[in-house]
Amino acid sequence: MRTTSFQIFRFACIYMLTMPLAFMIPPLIVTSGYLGWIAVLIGGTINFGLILCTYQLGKMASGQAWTAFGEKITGKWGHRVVLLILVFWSVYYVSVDMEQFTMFYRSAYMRETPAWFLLLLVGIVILITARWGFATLVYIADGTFIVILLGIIFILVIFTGDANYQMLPALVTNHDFHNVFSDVISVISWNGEWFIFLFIMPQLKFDKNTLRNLILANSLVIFAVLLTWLLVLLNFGNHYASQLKYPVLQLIRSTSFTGLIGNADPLFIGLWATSMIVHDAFLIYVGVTCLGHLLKFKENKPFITLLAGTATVAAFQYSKNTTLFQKDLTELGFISFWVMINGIPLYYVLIAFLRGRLGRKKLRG
Amino acid sequence: MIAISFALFAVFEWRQIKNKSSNHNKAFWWLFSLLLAWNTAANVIPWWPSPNRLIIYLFGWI
Repeated sequence: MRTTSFQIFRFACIYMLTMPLAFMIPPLIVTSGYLGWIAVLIGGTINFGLILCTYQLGKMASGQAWTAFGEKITGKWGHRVVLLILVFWSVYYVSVDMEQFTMFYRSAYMRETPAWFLLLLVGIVILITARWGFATLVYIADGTFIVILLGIIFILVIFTGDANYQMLPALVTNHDFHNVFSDVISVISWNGEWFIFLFIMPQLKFDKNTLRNLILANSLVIFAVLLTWLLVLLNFGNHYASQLKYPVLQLIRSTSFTGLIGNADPLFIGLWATSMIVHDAFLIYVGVTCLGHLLKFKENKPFITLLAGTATVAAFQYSKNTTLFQKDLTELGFISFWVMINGIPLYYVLIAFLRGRLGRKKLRG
Repeated sequence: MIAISFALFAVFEWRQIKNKSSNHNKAFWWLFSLLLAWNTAANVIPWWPSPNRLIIYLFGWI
């Protein structure tokens, strides 16, 4: 495949930006209020540590596929357990994404449409996108990156029009820290899965450029999330913003601009949905790669269908009881599971260090 | 139903692949039957646990 220098940066941005921008901000305002910026900054800094661990593992693997290489660090069965958990996790993540998108879309635009219809459509789209393969996903991200970035900048510019800047001192004068720790955990659970970029091998290399790209992507994500969080807070205030489920959509629709800009929310949602589909298709690709390695298959296409179908059915299960689904998403047990998965590169680096394999350049064999 | 339509498509794709070894065949059909049974139960039985429920059962004590 054709590679360029900042390709991984664009791909990582498209992958990481979608879900936090859309869904992380309201719960953050509910729990942390004016101090959410502390949680985002600390969580983002911890992400740098995870990226460094991922880079260390990628450097050691030196071009081998991660599914094959990981065995050399943790042993055959330890690595296989992790791959099995990753299969479950990727299907699970896709189903949560699908249900959140469907809930959002139905509540805003299609109230009478049954949930299963939208879920089936989204499932088929993810299935087809995943079947195109990893290279195509990277090319799609390449192409849509600049458009999505412009869209985000545009939205933020719209928000600055009606923002109430007199609220800014509250960011440092309000000293209510009791939720900051759990919010840091929550931020890591939303955008901490940097280990997933280990799966870019063998098609793409993992070198110093990749490290630079991932660090840049993390910085952009932290910056974009902080800015969006700040503008939501300044536009709606602490109390009202914690009541809204989709403040960004409300802001786009209720902007004082008229004409094309004021009615451009379907355009932004279309752009955002594109990056969500790329995100989910890559997750299915990761799940299928792990499953293919576990069962020693070469042809993976039928598994894409099976995993995408399972994710759709799971999302359908959630749609039967949306209140329980939303409550589950904020449970500490749920968030802890996510953080445990995101810590996978840390465990591998620790085990490699303890087994004395960290410094070794060549671990082929 | 969602589960059946995806399952049929998966079978169709499996049949398109040539040169399957018998081990691969067995593994695929086992996985297919497992997932079909699980997904059909999830669609039809109201109390069947979703992955969310499984995670909360395992980690809800935190």
